[in-house]
Amino acid sequence: MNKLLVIDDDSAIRKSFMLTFENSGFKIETASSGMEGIEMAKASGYNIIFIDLKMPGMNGIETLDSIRRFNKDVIIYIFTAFHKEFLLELQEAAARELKFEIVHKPLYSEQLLELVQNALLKNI
Amino acid sequence: MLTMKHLMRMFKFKRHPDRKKITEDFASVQLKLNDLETLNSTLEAELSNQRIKISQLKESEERFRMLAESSPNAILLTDDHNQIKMINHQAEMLLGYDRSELVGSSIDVLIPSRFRNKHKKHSKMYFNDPQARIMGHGRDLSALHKSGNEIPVEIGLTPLFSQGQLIVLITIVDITERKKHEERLRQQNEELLRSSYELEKRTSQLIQSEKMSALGTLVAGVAHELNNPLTGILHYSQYLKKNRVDDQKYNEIIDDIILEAKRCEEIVKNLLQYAYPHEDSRKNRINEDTLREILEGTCQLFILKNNEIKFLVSIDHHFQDFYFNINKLKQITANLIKNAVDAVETCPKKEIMIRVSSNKHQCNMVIEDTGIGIDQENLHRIFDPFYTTKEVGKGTGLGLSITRKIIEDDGGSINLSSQVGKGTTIHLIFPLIQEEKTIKIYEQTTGNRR
Repeated sequence: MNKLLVIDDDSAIRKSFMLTFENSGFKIETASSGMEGIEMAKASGYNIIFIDLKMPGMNGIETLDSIRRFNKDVIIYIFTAFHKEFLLELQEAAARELKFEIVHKPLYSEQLLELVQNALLKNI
Repeated sequence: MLTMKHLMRMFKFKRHPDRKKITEDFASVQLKLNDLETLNSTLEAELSNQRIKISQLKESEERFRMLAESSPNAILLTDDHNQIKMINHQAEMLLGYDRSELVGSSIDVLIPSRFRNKHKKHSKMYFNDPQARIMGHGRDLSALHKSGNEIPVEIGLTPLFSQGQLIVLITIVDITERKKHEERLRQQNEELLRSSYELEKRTSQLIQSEKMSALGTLVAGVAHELNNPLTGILHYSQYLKKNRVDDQKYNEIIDDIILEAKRCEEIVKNLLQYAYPHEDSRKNRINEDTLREILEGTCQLFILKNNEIKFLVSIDHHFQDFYFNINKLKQITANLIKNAVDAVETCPKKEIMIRVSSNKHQCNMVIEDTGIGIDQENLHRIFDPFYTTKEVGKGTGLGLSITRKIIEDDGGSINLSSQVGKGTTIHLIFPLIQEEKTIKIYEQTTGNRR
């Protein structure tokens, strides 16, 4: 079964993901901080990881950076409402060829499902 | 002169027989002679008196002429029929005539034709009550030069009585230089006023833009914070909808929650757009077909909602392509057309005209509606963020301020005029940036933003 990891400090987002992917054939796990997410990513393999950009402690880009050090292939989505204040860091990350995509919040359940299915299809 | 001796001699030659009669005649003649002598001496005295007077008069005339000739101002004398009696050298110089040409002619030749009738009236009034005064006080006077040019002048009138006749001493001062100086001063003053106005405007714009940027930061923060709970609400309600129970009321409420959450989402999107309108700065080439598609497409959407509204889209056949981000262009036109639609909705006449034309430098778009209009009081606030006259739920009050920001950031402009009860007209100007080079550089510096 495909496994997704959601790293977001906001429980509403984590819960939303859980509900959206309930009975969808995907297994959802969540982490409430960058640090926790990195540990989980190290411990088991995921097909897709969603990372919130703006988090207390490690932000999304730092978390992305850490995960990419041990996993170059997993599909990573940076999940954000807006990215102006992280623009430079995002550009820098892209310049260092850290692989990631950006998804804008808010996302409807159907869009989210569609996104995940398409991403996995492409990756096969 | 006739003397007594001469008379005696005359009478001696014609002796009369009657000596007594002769003696008597002689005595009476002598008496008459005395009278004549007296008369003669009176006449002689009178004559010499007159001679003195004449020489005095000549002297006084000479003095007057010297005075007139030495005056730095042009001087004319006229009689009470406005006929020129005398002019001085300065007047010849100023007016371009020789004195022989002017003396004897009417003062009219020196008055520009458009003033002649008025002058006739004024001069009649003057002769009714002649006083020393400045002519045409407070008005700009001009004298007509022989060449036909007009000279700005100041004229003084002094009535004089000479030998029981009224004559008028006219002094003319050429104020060309003074006028030039005044004009320079006026221009400088205007310039000063303009720049002080400009400064004031800039200052207020600066204050405004500082306020706006502070507001933008605040708005972005709030919008960002709102996005997470909003995502939660959307997902929870969509989950409930997906796993619906058979209770119609319950389902309606869920639909409402989704609807309201989407509305919040729209507001947040607008707020973010307001705070960061530069998200997408790529420019697209907008040609006639693209523009027509955007405009007609937008109108079509509104027709679906309200088919009573008449839309008219016309693009001038001299249309020139311009560069603008296509999504922003869609947003701007949709915003403005939506405003127009809202404005005509309650009016009997529901017409929205969109006309596009271009010239060498710019593309002009005019969006005109026959709607309710905006009163003058509110017109200047219309671009303020959060300002709206629409009922709750119809607008965020951000549409026009975002529109203006987008257009102005890309070198265009938006202006609005309105009349209550008649409608509103919006003028948009998009600059034509035709050099591909500019676009490429523009994309290179900003292209990697997404």
